[in-house]
Amino acid sequence: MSKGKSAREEIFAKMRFALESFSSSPIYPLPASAKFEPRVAAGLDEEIEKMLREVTRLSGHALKIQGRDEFADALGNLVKTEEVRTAALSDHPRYGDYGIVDMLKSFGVALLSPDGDKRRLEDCDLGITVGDAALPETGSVLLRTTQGQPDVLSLLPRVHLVLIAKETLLADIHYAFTMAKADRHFVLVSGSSRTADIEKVLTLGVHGPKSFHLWICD
Amino acid sequence: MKVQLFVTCLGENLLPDILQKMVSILERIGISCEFPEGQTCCGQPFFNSGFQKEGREIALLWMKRFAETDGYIVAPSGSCVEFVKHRYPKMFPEGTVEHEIAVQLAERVFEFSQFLTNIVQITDLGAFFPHRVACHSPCHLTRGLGVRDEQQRLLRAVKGLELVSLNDAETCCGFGGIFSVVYPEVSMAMMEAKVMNIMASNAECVVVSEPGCLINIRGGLQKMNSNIRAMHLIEILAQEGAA
Amino acid sequence: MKDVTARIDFRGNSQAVSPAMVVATQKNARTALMKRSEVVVEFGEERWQQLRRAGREVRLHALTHLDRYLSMVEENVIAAGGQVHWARNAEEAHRIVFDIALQNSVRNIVKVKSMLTEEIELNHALEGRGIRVYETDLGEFIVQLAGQRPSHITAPALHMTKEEVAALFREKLKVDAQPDPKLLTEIARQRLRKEFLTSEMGISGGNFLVAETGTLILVTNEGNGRMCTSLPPIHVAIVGIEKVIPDWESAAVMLKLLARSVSGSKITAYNTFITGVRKDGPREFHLVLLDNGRTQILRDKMARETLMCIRCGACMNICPVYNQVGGHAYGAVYPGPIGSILTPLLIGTRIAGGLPFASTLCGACSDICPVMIPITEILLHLRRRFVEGDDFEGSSISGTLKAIAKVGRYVLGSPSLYRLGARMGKIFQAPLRSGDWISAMPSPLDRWTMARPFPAFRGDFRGWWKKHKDAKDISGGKAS
Repeated sequence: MSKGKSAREEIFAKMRFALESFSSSPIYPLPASAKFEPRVAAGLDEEIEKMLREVTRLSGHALKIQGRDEFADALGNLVKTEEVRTAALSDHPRYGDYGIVDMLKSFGVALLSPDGDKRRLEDCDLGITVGDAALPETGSVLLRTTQGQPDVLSLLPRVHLVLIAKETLLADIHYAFTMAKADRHFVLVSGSSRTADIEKVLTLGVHGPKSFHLWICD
Repeated sequence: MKVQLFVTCLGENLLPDILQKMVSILERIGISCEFPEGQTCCGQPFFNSGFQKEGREIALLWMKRFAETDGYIVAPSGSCVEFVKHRYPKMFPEGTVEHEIAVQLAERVFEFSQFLTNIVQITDLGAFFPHRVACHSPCHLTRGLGVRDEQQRLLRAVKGLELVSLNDAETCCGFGGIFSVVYPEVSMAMMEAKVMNIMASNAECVVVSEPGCLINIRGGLQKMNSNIRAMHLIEILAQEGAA
Repeated sequence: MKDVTARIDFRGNSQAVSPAMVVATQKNARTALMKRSEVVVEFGEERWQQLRRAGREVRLHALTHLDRYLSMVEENVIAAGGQVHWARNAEEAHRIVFDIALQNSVRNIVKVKSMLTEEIELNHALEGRGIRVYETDLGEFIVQLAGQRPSHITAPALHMTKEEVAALFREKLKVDAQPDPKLLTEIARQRLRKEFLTSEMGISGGNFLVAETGTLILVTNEGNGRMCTSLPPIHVAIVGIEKVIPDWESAAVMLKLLARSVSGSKITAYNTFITGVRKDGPREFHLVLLDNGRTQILRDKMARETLMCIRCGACMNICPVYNQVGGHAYGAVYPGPIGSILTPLLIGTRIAGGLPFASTLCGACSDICPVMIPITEILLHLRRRFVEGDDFEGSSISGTLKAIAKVGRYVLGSPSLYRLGARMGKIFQAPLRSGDWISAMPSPLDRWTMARPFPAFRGDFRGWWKKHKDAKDISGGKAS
């Protein structure tokens, strides 16, 4: 190790020597052999069915919701079966006019701010987020982290509900990346938090939410 | 058609009856055999143990001996054939005379079941073997040479033979050349796992078409006092009888 | 792997393994392989091979231009408000992390599972300086409590039964623990929740670094990966320099390969994508890029493909040797086929030279590797290094073995000596032989006979051939 050379300089010097890389000629684009054709989607109805199936396979609860009334029923049901007393709702513009806040209030659910103290969100029963894209191939939902939809909203509460519009179903993860790659932070959520670390027995809700719900809405 | 016999060091010294049967099968279907006397070993045991210099030297002797001949070169061993076919050309830098000879020899060399099925294009040798038979898949034959169902095709053409399935047929038997003496306990455990699967298959006989695997598995069955016979494919194909 | 200074004794280690470890190893492997088969069939066998080739090309391209892509990573992370540190070795990495901890009065750290942090023994170094480190992956949490090493790279506690885990929790956590995986998981969840919310720093590794935007990708199932990188005010990610991929198209390829290869899920529960700092996240993001022997491996054109590994564990799941001995036999952080090549490349064949020989060269690993690392070729390459030495390291083999090989070469190099040797073999075997078998041989040949009998040298092919040829010549080629 030479004196005076920083770690960074030394590591780069070693790499360049090893790779015989002394030019700055373009290394892009990648060779064609490094590419893989994205999946081609089937028809919308088939894709919706696939999404519902995959999420169920991942031990999540998936529903197709048509209209505000069906939404209210489903929400009431969820509140009852999951024993929800507190909820935090994403500030996402997509479902602003559904009146979810009022619905929850009518079910007796107290509302917490998603931007508040994380310790309070920890005690929250239900976190409602909006997904920007969904991937039926794997049952995944893309959640972008924004001011009104912090990452912890889908992480700390005991129950996580994601709403997605059926137009946001994408054929391949490749397209999800194209959409979100400029973001500072986003997650792909696929079903419930899980582990099989003890004797290969599948257990849900390890550190993340214990219960995962996905609704495909209009 | 004429073939050069590549007898292999293990084959010649420990399984000479299989070589005799290989000759008789080939002659029966009208192929004449020649035996290049100067052959000893292809060099694989040395090369694969890290003694690449010695491996290369022995390979050169093998090449010298067989380059003097013409026609197909046939061996009852997938690992030896794989070594000549895939390793020899890589041993010598491109552009050298040795490399050129290696490439030419690589094109001529075949494993026995590969030779019968793909070159001679014959699967029915008129053999008769009325027994339940399981088939082990030797690693170098299947993963190395890509010879996967040639054995099965030849076995299915044997009259009276009932092919039974073998659990974990493609899992290594634990021989691995020097591995068997460097890590004997692990080798034994792998051999025992293979023998357990063979016994569970309810076969009367297991086909093991690789000299190293064959002495390993045969020894294992012997140790267990099992009545199951481990046989090379050649031994089965050589069984003529009631048509 | 600083503590690995004594020669790794694979043979000795493999014999000290408990039968329960072997059973658990096989159960884990079988399940993972079976599910992997199912999803590969669903994906399409031919398509899967194309995907593997793309995966290989992506990783190879990234390694071939590693310096360029790492520059891009650094530039992009800094532009996004993160900080980048470079560590040549474990000690430097320890110092960097400790300095960050010191500056921010860090007392407690929550950590996501990372093989790299095990490689440099980060926990030990931090705890030695009075900082508490909590492993938060359930399997790692368990082995940390037990003071053991993980036995598989993605299933660290597979060797422990639920009864053992319950006893461990009762002893170390002072709670009433029943041997039920669900209840035990709940205990861990409650215990760690506190730590997630109060710890001052979160440490993670990284599955990939996307050069295009400087994004760190974390692939997890439990949610702790997100907890550790969202809740504490400081996030430190320690990543090996080889983990870079060029762009987001490559990321799609890698993520399609990874979960399927690990355990047959099509995707893990959470894939987190982190670029620098964001408004509601940790206020500081530190990326520590670690060399620790990787630039040396890069110099070896053949062996550098080892660095393409995406840490899926498929090679060990299918390895028949690993399935008989479990992970601890390999004496270091990385077990199985990848460990057999990576460990000697990182710490030398003088210490780890026994590992490349812990293989029958069956080729199953090379066949299953999602990025087509030619593991078998690299094993041969390292065997040569151990025996003959090469540009990177001198020979480590004993003089005795060298001499034996020379004798063998001499005998096999001469057809007459070879035939003489066969005749001598028949003579010497006589007292040991019983029918077709020799059941005991003198040392060191007893290494064979301890496992099964050896076949007797018998028959004489060349003699038979001569008679056969003569008979044919006489009868004009018609005798047999």
